[in-house]
Amino acid sequence: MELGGARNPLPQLRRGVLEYCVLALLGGEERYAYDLVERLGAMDGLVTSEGTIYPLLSRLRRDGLVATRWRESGQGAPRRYYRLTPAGNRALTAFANDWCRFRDSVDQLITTSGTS
Amino acid sequence: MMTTTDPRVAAYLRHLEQAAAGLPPDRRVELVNEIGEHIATRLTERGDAPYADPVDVTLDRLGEPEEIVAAASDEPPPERPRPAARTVKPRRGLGGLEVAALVLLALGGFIFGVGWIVGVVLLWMSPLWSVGEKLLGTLVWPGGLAAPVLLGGLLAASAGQSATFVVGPILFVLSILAPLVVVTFLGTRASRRAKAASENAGS
Repeated sequence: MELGGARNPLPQLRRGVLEYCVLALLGGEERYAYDLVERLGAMDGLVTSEGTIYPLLSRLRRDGLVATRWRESGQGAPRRYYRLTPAGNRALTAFANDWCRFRDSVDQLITTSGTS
Repeated sequence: MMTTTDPRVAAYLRHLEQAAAGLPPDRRVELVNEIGEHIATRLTERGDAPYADPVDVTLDRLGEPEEIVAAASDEPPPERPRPAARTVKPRRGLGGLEVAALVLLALGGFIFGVGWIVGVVLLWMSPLWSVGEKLLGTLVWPGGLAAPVLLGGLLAASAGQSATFVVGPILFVLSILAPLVVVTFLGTRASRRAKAASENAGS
């Protein structure tokens, strides 16, 4: 169940964090867009609108955090594969640090308040 | 690019293209193509739950075209929103106005008495003091340090009268200390506020 209305921070959180989730998925290997969308969509509570991942990928490309190349796929139509750039790697590392601190602090408060 | 003939998909993609009318043309085209390919891929690759309509599920999961376009045209949100304009008065540093006010309050009485009046005017003009503080600076006290000089003259003139012999020197000392204390007090208040204001403005 999710909070309704203006007080729910989740939409903003998702918007802010989703691009780093994409970068994290690309950390290990290059992937094509549909693959990224599938994986993110399968994770609980992460994505409400899969279509928004495409403009996000586009922006990551424009910002130089990911790079792409076309590769032939088995099915015939070439696919666009995404990979991290060095800048993307740095951004991901920085975010990972920030996120862990943030997450741990929030977890601490939520658990001590006896609500989890 | 594989196309699908399902009218719902075609309608969705048309809707998306319309919603994206505000985007630069190359981004609009790219977005519509990518979403179209996504739909086509999903409809061929994916097995959905029994009785679930794959087109419905696909379009549902994609989300509303408006939301997709909003993501495409979003500027990244600002890191930190600019703080709302502060209602606390001080917006500038301790400046010439305050220094002149304090000097004239203390010493302006010697400039034909008028200097002190100018000091009072400057005192009230400054944004760095509250009304209470301004009243303090006005009432304690008129003439600033020139007052003790005047008082000293009066004392000398009335030397010998027993009442003034005791009270006089006390008043005399007070009349020197009071303006000095008040001016120092006002000065530290002002400079602390000016410092706080410049720190706030910088954050």
